[in-house]
Amino acid sequence: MTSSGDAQVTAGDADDPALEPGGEPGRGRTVAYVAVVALIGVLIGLLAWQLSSRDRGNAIPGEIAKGDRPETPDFTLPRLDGQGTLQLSSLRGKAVVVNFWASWCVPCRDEAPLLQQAWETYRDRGLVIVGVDSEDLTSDARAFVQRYGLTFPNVRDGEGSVKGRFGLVGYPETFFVDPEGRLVSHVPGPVEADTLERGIEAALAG
Amino acid sequence: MIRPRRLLLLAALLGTLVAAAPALASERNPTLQELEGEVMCPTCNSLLELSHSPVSDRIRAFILERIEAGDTKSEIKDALVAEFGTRVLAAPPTEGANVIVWVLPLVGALVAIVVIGLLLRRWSRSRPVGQRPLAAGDGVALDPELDRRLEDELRRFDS
Repeated sequence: MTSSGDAQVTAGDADDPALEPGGEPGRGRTVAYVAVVALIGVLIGLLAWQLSSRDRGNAIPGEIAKGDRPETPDFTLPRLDGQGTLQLSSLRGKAVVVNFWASWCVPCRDEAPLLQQAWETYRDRGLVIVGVDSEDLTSDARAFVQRYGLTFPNVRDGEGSVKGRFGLVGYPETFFVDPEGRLVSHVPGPVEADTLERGIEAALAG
Repeated sequence: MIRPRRLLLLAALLGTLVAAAPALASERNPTLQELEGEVMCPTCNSLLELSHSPVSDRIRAFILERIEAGDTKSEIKDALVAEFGTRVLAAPPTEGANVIVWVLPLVGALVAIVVIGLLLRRWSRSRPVGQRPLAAGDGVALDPELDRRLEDELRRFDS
């Protein structure tokens, strides 16, 4: 028994270069089908990869809120003062406060003095504050650092490439990292003196 | 006397220059308005001309400073890319992995045309005689009644 497609083969099909004499699909057509299927497969794979990598970042604040301690996403970014780069994982063994900010962000201006004060208070206990200036003009960011007299290390992420890995939804946001590199606390929005202190103590306690 | 072929060549050359002149002027003397249509707000992912976010206001000020400094459009765009990456451009550059953005739609359109062409060809060939337009050599006889009516109509038309 033949399929209905085979049964419909007429004399005209003999002229079809895509069909071989026996009515079997030609090699060229098979290759074309495989290429189209492969292309669709690659596109679906890219979409899945994009969605899964986005979800990983988005999941971090939720995991911290549940009491989990997810591993801190690593990054290497140029320092705002132009003195090379800073890799977050190179600070392993120290408690770290990662603060995302931008010079155009009004609440960031309010919390900048608090962060500087915390840096001066806790640095002798092994705390490092890392400011990540995101989606900002370099000149504006440098002026911001100078205006608020920030002396802790600040790095620059003009493209905002790191924010997705932390699941950021706005500026400012602050993450507290223990000496083993695990996220122990997260403050979306501006920190206040008490939330900053609690986060730092949790990070130092490990 | 100028030969017609040379005249055509001259006209084509002049036409190209006339068409390219606005682009050259825009490159040398860009305006904030046109750059607002070619640059994206990095935080809201919309065109700068549609955005009133704080970072958009800073980018506008940056563009104006660079225009006043005499920068070309390309130099201003390059400076913005250095600050915010290529996603600050409304149209991604045609280099590196971004080529995919330009090539993929063309490849998709070509694949679609080929697939539709193959399907149409297959369908037209698989339709039984009588359901497709008659072609010379099909040798299908008309219904006698229809044949008679056709002959009558043709005769009336001739007379």
